[in-house]
Amino acid sequence: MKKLLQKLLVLDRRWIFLVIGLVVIIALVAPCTTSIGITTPVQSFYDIIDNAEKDKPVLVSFDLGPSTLPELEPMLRAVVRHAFLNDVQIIATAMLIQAPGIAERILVEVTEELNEEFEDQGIDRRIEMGKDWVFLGFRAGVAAVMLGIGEEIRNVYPTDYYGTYLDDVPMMQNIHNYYDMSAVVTVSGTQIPESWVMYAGGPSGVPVLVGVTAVMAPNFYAYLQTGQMAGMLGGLKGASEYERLMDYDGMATKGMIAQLWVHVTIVIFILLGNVAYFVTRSGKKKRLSVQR
Amino acid sequence: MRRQIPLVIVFVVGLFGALSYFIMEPVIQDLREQMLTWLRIIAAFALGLGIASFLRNHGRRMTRQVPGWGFNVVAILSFLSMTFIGLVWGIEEGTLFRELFDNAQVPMEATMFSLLAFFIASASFRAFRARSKEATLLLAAAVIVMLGRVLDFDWLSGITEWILEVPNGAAQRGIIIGVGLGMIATALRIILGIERSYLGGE
Repeated sequence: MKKLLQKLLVLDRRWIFLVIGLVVIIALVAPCTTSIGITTPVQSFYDIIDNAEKDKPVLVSFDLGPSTLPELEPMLRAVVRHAFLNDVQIIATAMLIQAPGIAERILVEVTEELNEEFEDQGIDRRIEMGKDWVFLGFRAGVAAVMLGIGEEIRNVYPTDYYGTYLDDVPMMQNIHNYYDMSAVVTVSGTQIPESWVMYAGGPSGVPVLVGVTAVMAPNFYAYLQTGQMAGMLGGLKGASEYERLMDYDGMATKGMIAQLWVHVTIVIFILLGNVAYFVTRSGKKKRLSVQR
Repeated sequence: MRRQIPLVIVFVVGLFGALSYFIMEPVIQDLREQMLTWLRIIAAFALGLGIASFLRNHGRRMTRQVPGWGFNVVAILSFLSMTFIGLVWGIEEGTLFRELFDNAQVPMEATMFSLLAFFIASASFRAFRARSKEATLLLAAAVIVMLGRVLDFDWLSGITEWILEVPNGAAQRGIIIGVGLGMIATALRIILGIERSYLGGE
């Protein structure tokens, strides 16, 4: 037994990689489900989108790159879907140069998905670009862009991503700055949400809602406590809570099963490592005292 | 003179930038709006600077044939080909540029990030050992947060939220205040001309 534990202490990390890989695959393939509790930051996020005024759009900033997409895409899809289902218009922007491609794809796919669902259910409603959402694309200079939107959005984005003047976009007729918006949503794996707090939320008082990767989430709890961030989705867990609030089985709900089993496996590894460490250490101590 | 003119510009612009937050006179606000436009133009130039730096660094490694220079060739070729494809056929949905972005860059970057799960598992197995009181505290907090984020038990979620909100929140607040004070100090040093490293030289 002791030999086995000693071997465990010097276990080749490739065995750990193999176990984690297998756990992820099995969890994704097996027909398992998991229940998820709702935390306060997610509930606040959901409530603000749910109660947003119909004539005051939500600015959704796609501040992410491809590397964090698997973790952040589910929350973007859930938020965009939720807004559209509540007749809340979306102004989409991107603060990172890699983001426009991602943003456009998500907006177009969610629009198509919902329009198909409306058609299947016989509902006479269609989501339309220009009426329900507008995509403004990327502009360089994060702080300058955020401050500029606070003055007049047309100064920063005279046209949308496709070259249409904002004055010709129906949903933008009475929209000029943050005071005309219900909330600012930023989804990012970077520190950009802090800039939204400083340059948008602070000066105008517009609620700032953030969606971030799980590793970034602890950095923002101080802002949640002060109310500078009105809600937060942290990693896949935050996205799955949001999906549960929407009663929608999306990508996050499916991914949470894999995350649950991987976390449990890592904890088992940690516990085994500690058991092995203490058993072998007590053996060494005994040997030393006998020698003395 | 070559140093004094930039110092004067920085002093005037820096002071104006700070004061314009507090003076709501239309003239000041109009000028502030104008300055934000200049700032965005300067930021756009930074992109060009980044591209020049990228090409120079990779090009130098490629011409000197330092070990692994093949990767530098791949980096430059990828950059040039994506630029060419984007300029010629556009970057909208359905174009070759977008196909390459969605089917090559996205999976590659996502794969790199996903590898974190494997390395975190291996690192936690080796590093989280209860060797001291502090290490035991860290280990216990990590195990509680890891399980509390995925298991639906009210008591466990409660402890997890408390750890994130109270001890973590307090530590983060300290860091944020420290960073903020540091930013103010650095800004003042630059505005007053004490910090001059941005001018180059000593």
